[in-house]
Amino acid sequence: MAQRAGAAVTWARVLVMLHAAAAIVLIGAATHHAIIAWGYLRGRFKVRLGRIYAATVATTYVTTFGLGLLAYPTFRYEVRALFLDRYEPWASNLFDTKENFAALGLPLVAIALGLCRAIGPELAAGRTREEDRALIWAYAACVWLVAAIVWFAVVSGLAITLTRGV
Amino acid sequence: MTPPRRFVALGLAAVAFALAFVYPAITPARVAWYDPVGHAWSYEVRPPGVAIDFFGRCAQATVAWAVVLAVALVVVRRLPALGARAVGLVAAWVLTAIVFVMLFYAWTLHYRVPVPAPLPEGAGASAGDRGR
Repeated sequence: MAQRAGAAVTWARVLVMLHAAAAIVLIGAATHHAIIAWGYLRGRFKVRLGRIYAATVATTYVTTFGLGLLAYPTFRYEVRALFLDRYEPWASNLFDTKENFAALGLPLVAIALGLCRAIGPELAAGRTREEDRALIWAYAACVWLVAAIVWFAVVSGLAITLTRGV
Repeated sequence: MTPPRRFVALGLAAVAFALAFVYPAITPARVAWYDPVGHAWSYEVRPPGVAIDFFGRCAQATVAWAVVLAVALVVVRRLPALGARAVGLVAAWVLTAIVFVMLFYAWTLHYRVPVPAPLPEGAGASAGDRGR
């Protein structure tokens, strides 16, 4: 039993390392994507970069989230239940806040990915200027909220890991 | 499919995701739980111990997202042209739903007092030891 728990912890540590590595790429891509979206609102369209960042954010978001899910059961018992809940309850609560926020970012990432190819300096056939403007605002809002969620998740993840890691 | 229609479908699916995700937290609803100690799944309101409902909530939210997206993609194709007003309204609903659920979790978790699991026999020097 103890041997099985030890193997699970070792495996979880590898997963958390990969989770952190993916999060490094994610926070860079999400921040750049937010800057590109800000440019769209000011009439500066870096469409190719916008598409690249949307795809990068979507890939790394799902990867980071998935790796976190795989490591979660070990964290839940070995770290949270046995240590954080007892000595550092704020870190337990912060972790759950972070995981819930991260899950809620998933549909926003899908929206950003779905819209990234539709937005550009040229008006598409059949679309009005107002429709384009509304789409750009909707796109930018989703991209910014994703960037905010990613920043919150990374900073709180660091704070929690500094308190107690797997 | 035009981008406004695609956005409306994705937006409605995002609202469904947020509502399905938060539903078990605001009302006693059955959801899939995973017990990381016994490595077992259960489908109930709240099992004892350190079981995790996050996987179950994510799964049911993803199913709700996929179902609403599939239905919405069919429905929005049949609607007359969607203007800027429809896009703005859906965007407002999406952001309201997501931010509202985020605030709900931030509020409830800020005031939560976690109950620690009992330490296993002889775990003082490893798992639950503060001095690690």
